Amino acid sequence: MKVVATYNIKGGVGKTATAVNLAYEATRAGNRVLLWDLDPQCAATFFFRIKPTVKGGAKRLIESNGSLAAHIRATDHLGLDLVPADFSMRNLDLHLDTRKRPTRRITTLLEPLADQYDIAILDCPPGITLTSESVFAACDALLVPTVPTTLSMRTLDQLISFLADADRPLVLPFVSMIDRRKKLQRDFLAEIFERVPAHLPTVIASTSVIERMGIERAPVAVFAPRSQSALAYRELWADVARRLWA
Amino acid sequence: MTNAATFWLVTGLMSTTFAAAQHTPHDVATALANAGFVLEPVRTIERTLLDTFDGRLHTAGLRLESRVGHATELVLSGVDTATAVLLVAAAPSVTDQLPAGPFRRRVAEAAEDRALLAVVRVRTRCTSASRRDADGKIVAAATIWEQLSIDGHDGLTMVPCTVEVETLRGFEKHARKTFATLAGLGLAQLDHDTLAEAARVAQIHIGGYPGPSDIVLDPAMLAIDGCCEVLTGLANTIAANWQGTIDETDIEFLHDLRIAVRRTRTVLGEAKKVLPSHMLSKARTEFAQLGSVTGPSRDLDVYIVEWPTYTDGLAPDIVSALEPVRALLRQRQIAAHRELNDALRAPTTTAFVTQWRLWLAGPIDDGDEPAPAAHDPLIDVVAKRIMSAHTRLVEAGRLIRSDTPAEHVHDLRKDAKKLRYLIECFGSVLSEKPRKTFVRRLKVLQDNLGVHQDAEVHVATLREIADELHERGETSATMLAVGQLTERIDQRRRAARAEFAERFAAYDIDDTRDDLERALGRGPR
Repeated sequence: MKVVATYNIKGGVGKTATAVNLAYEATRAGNRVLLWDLDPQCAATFFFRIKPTVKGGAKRLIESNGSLAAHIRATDHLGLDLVPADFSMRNLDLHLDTRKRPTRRITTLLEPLADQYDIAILDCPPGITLTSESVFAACDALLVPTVPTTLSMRTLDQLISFLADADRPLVLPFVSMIDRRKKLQRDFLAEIFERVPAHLPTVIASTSVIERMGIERAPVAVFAPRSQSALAYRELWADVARRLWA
Repeated sequence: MTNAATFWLVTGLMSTTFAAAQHTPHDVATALANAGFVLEPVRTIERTLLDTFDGRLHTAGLRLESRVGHATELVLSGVDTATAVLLVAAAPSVTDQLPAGPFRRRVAEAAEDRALLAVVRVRTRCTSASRRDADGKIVAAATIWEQLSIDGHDGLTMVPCTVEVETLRGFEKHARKTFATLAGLGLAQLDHDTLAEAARVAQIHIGGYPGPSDIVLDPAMLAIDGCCEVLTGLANTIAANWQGTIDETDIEFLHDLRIAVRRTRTVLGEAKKVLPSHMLSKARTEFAQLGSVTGPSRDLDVYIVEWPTYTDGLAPDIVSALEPVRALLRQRQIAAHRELNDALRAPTTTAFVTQWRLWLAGPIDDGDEPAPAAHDPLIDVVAKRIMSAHTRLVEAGRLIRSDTPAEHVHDLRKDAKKLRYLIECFGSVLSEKPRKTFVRRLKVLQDNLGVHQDAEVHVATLREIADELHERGETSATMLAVGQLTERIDQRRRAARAEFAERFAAYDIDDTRDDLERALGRGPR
């Protein structure tokens, strides 16, 4: 099982939209997918219409000696399951801190599921925290949605330098939420591709279709399968799959 | 939801199946609607269970189904694992036709190089039904399947309607409620799914055809009965693989046919005192001929399939210079298969195979004078033949020196194979644990002999090909590359030969004989 995380130090860059849509596209491509919502905002859980409940809260989730199995919920899409979040996930760091090897915890929880799924996608909260450290240790690749702005570029640089060690996951940034009407963003786009060669080629534009996910409570391809955004997420998954199984 | 993704919603696989013998699909739909399910429009779907001819996916605990409606989807499920769904242009006949990724990897690991064939195909009308909670989340899902026909079995009728209820992870109590609704309607729960039910009705064996290890023999039965039972199983395997070999569906049909012929020859060779002589001599001649016609095709099949392994690690320019060699091998493979097909289609061959099966199926006419050991207990005859085959192998192996001609090593390989075939064919009368230990040790020796013999044959073939290419005036780059490849394979042959003494010594120990004695119920010396 490959493990990828949608992650950025910054919030509001499209992490959850990416996790939800990529999970769906990965499933369409014939993979068995587990999406784990680690964000106390529970947006990924909301998009799949699943109740935001973690039985026993984040404490039990982290401290249990079993795996995540008991927490898994089927979504409406065959092959795509979800570990929901609830508001108790805001204390994930505190609970991790009580463990002996906190940064290994997510790896340990995923290990028993390795034969059941082809890919696990972790939807992470923003910030560099103990949770992020545990995610870095567990995953094969970090998908980093990057909005083409100065601050976003700065946090990407910070992340790349933080993860410079050889045993860290593959960092796969991609441009997210671009507004092509803005010249400044178009200029940044060229700069990003030049500065970060590992950048995935697909660009996700900011569209009203993606915003509608909140109303439809489903991945874009379910309610707007022929939209530009649905096609973009399919391409983005193809980019990721090529890197994961190259 | 009514969009392109609708058909892709949860539909029952790895689910619980109910049979509605007395109810129409409409009755079931009404009951589900009354239980809060929303029904999707009826669709016509052709469902096909795919597997290799010998049921490798089934053996690996996988189930691959193609569903053809407006689109074609492949559904791959297994025990204790999530189900994977893949949209494809058409159902694949080989795993290479699947897109690269985990789906293909899982199927390919189980199927290896075998073709994916339709085990059973059913035309259906289906209605998907789902119940949602207040947030619109599907909490229960069921599919009503109305069976229209089983492909190739028009006269057969199966239960007209089945209902497959998916147990959604995390929503198990809703599935249980659906089970209760259907049971309340009088539907019976099946212990298999709809396609398995169709296979049962059509008398199709889902796990492939039975092999020698599936034949259970009684050690006390008459030797002639035991031998005939084994030979019947082998004759069935030959018949089952006959058409696939002619059609070249995949190369394993010929392999399985060839192994069954070899096993048959081994049993016939060891049953001289058991089977009536009038049948034995004809059968030995005919099977020897069948064995020899299958040889060239199989050798070339292996050469072509293993080509990437042979050339692995060679520089790309050498590999491309070797292309005329591969093309020539391919030409020879086509010609060899043509000859093989002519032999398999020959009226004399088909008449013999039919006659052989009829003879095995009928009462045994062993004449006034039965063969001397025909009525001995099977275990006695088997034990004697196996011990004798082992002794032959050990005695011949001890004579092999570093300068012994290659054909003697080849003969030793044949002795080892005969011993192995005997153990496989009559395995059920041996004690399992010591038999397995013995076979493990024998296999190590066989692997060494196999590598040596394969390399020997391939070097000889390459030398022949080099002569032919030279006569054709092939480029010097190709001739040099052939020399390099020949040397490489010959190195492998020399390495296997150098390793032989050590491998044989590891086999030629008291423990080996003790295990065999134990397997035969004699206890160690």
